[in-house]
Amino acid sequence: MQRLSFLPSDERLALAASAARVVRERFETHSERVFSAARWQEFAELGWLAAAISEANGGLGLPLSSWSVVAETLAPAAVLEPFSTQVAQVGYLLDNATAGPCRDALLAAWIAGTGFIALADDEGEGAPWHRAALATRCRLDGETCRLSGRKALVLDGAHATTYLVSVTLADGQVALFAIASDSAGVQVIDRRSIDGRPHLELLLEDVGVPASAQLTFPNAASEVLVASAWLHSYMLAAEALGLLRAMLQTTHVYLLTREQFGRPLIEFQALQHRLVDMALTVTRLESLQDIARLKCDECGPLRAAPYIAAAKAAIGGEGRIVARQAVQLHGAIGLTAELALGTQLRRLLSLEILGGTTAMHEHFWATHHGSLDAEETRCS
Amino acid sequence: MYFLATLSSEERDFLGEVQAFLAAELDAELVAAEDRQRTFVADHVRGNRWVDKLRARRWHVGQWPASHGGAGLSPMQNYLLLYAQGLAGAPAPPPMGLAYVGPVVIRFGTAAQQASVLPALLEGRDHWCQGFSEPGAGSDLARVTCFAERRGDRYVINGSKIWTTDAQHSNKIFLLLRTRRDDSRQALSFLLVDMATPGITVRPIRMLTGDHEFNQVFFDDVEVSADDLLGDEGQGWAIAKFLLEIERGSFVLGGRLRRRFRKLEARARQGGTVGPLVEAKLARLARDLLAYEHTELRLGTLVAGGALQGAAANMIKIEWTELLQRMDDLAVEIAGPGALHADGAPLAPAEIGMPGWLASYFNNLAATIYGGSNEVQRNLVLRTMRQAWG
Repeated sequence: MQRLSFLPSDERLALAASAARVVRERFETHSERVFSAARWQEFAELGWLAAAISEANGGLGLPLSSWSVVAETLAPAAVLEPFSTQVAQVGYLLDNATAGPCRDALLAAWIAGTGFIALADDEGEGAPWHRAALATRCRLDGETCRLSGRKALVLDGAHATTYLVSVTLADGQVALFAIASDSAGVQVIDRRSIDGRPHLELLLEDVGVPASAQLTFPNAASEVLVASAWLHSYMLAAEALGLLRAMLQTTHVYLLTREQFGRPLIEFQALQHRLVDMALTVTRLESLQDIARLKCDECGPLRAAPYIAAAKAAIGGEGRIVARQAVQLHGAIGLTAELALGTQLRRLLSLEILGGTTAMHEHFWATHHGSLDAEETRCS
Repeated sequence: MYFLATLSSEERDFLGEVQAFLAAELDAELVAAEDRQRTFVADHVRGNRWVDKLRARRWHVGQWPASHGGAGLSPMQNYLLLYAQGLAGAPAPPPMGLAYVGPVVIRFGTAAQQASVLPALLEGRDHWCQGFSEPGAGSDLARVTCFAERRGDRYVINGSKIWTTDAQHSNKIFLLLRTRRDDSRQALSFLLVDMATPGITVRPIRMLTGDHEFNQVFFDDVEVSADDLLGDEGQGWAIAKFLLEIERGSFVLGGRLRRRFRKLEARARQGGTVGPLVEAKLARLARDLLAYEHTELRLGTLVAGGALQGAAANMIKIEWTELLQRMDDLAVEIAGPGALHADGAPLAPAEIGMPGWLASYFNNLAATIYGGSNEVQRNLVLRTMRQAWG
C-alpha cells in the first residue's frame, strides 16, 4: 500500500530537522532579535527558499507541506527573518510570472537570498482576496510608466531593495512592476509592528519605471495576487500553529515546576483539564491546517481557499483562547517581557490580524462551506 | 469526503467496493430506521440484520485477523469501511460481541475458549453484553465489588452490574469482578458467563425518554465453571483496560456525524431563509466536523498522531461525543412546538411519546458518560502528556 499522503514525507522531515537545528544553534536564548541579511542568506543556502520554487525555475519544487513546516518550526523562536511572507508573497509571484530578463534576475537573486524583495500591493481595503480597484495608477510617458499612489502596508519592507508594486492600468487591468527601493519619488513611512517587524507604508509619486520592469503572468495578474494572498494566509496560520504547540508545551512544563499550596500546579485537576483542553484544541487546529495543506497541494491555493479560511479562522479564534489559557496558567509572569511567551503572544496576535482577520476568514468559510460537502471529486 | 484525493489507488478501489456493496445491500428500510434512531447504537434487531449482510464479506469482523475468520483489514481500510457505512446510514452493529469480546478472546483466550466463543460470534449465534459498571463503581471502575468465589473447579458469583446495554437481548455476558477479598486491581478477574445460568436476573432501567436501553443484572449464587475465566486470576484489570481501549477506539464516527450534520442542516433550512445566527452555528459545526473527521483519520488509523498518539482513543472519544451533543443542541434550538409530541397513535397515560430526534438529544447526553466519562478521558490524556513530555 502506498504511503499515506498525510504522513510526513522524507523532504518534509529533512526540512523540519534543518529548521530545528537552526533554531537550536542560532536562536536558543530568549533575547532581542535583530534581522540579519546574512542569516537570510543562510536560509537560502539551506535550500528553504528553493524548496518553494518549481524545478523549471531553478528551485526544488517540493510540495507545500515540505516548506510550510519550516514556518511552523521557526515560529516559536521569534525569528524575524520573514520566511512565511517571503515565500507566499514573493517566491510564489515570481515562480508564477512569465519568464523574462526581469523576472529571471529577480528570481535567481531571491532564491540565492541576495535580493530581498517586498510586495507592495495592500492599499488597506478589505479582505486580501477582494481585489478592490487599486488607487495606484500608471501613467504612460513614452516607454516609461510613471507610478503614483499609496501602499498602506508593505510587509518587512524596510529590508527590501526591490518592491513589487501593483497598479491599475488605463484599461483597468492589474499589473505588477518591480521598482528599486531607492527610485526617485519613493517615500517610506515606518510602520514597525508590535512583533518587531519593520513594515512600511509607501508613497509613490511619479516614480518612473521602464516597461521591461513589468512582471507578466500567463493568466490575469489579479488572480495570481489572490492565490498568493491565500497562500500567505496559509503560511501565517502555519506559523501560528507552531507558536500554539510551543505554548502548550511550555505551559505543561510550567505546571510541572511551579509549586503553590505545597505541590506542583500539575497536581490540581482543574488545571490538568485546562491543559488537556488546550491540547485538544491544538489537535483540532492541526487537523484543519493539515486539510488546508492537502487541498493546496492537490488543487493550488485558490481552490483550497475555503479550507485555508477554515484553518486560519480556527487558528485565529480558537488559538487566541489557547494563548490566553497559557497566560492564565502561567499567572502574571506570563504577561511579562521576561519569558519567550510574551514575544510569542505579540507575534500570534500579528499573525491573527495579518493575511485576513479571523472575522473575514469566518465569513468566507460561512459563505463557502455549503458547496464543499457534495464535492467528492478532484479539483478540476 | 475531503480525503478522497489523498487515498492510494488501492484504497480508492477498496472504498469503491464498499460503496458498491452498500448500494446493493443497504435497503431503504434500514436507512430510514437509522435516521429515526433514538439511541446511538442501533437496536438489536436492525443491527443484527445488517451484520447478517456484512457477514458475506467478513466485514462484520473487518479488523479481526484472517487466521481467526476476520477480514484482516488494515486500519485505513477499516476506517474507510466504517466511514462509508456511517455516511450511507447503515446501522452500527451492536459492538459488545464482535468488536469487544472477539478481539479480547483472540488476545487472552485459550485455544478451547477461542474455539467455543469465536465461531458462535462470527455466525451470529451469540449475543454479548458488557458487565463492567456497578452501582458503586462507575467512573472508578476498578472498585467493582461483584465477587466470584472459587470452589474447586467452580466459581460462585454474587453482586450486580448496572447500565448493561442490551442485556435483555443477550445470551452471554462478560464480567469484570473480584476473585480475592482485597481492594487492589490485582484482585480483579474476567469471566465469560452464559446468561441462562440459574441465579441471573435482568431488571430493565427505564430512561426519561421512555426507552429501554440499559439494565441492571443481578447475580445470586450463580455457579459457573472455572474454565470460563479469561486469562489468569488477577489479570482482569489488564484485560478490561485492553477492552476499553478498543471500546474508545474501535468506532469510526466521522461518516455518521457527517450524515447527521446533513440532516440537521436540511432541517434547519426546511423553512426557507435561515437567520444569520443559525447560519453562523451551522458554519461552526461544519468546521468542527471537518476537523473531527481528520483528527479521527490521523490519530485513529494510528499512524500520524505525534507525541499524543498514546492518547488518541481518549482524545477522539472526547471530541466526537462533545461534537455530537453540540449538533443536538442546534437541533433543539431550531425546533418548533411540534417537536414536543410524537405523531401517530394516541398515547396510553403512562407513555411519554417523545419523538425520535428529541429522544436522541437526551440519550446522547450519555455519550460523555459511557465508555469512561469525559472527565476520566481527560485524566488519561494528561497521563499520556506527562509520559511524552516529562
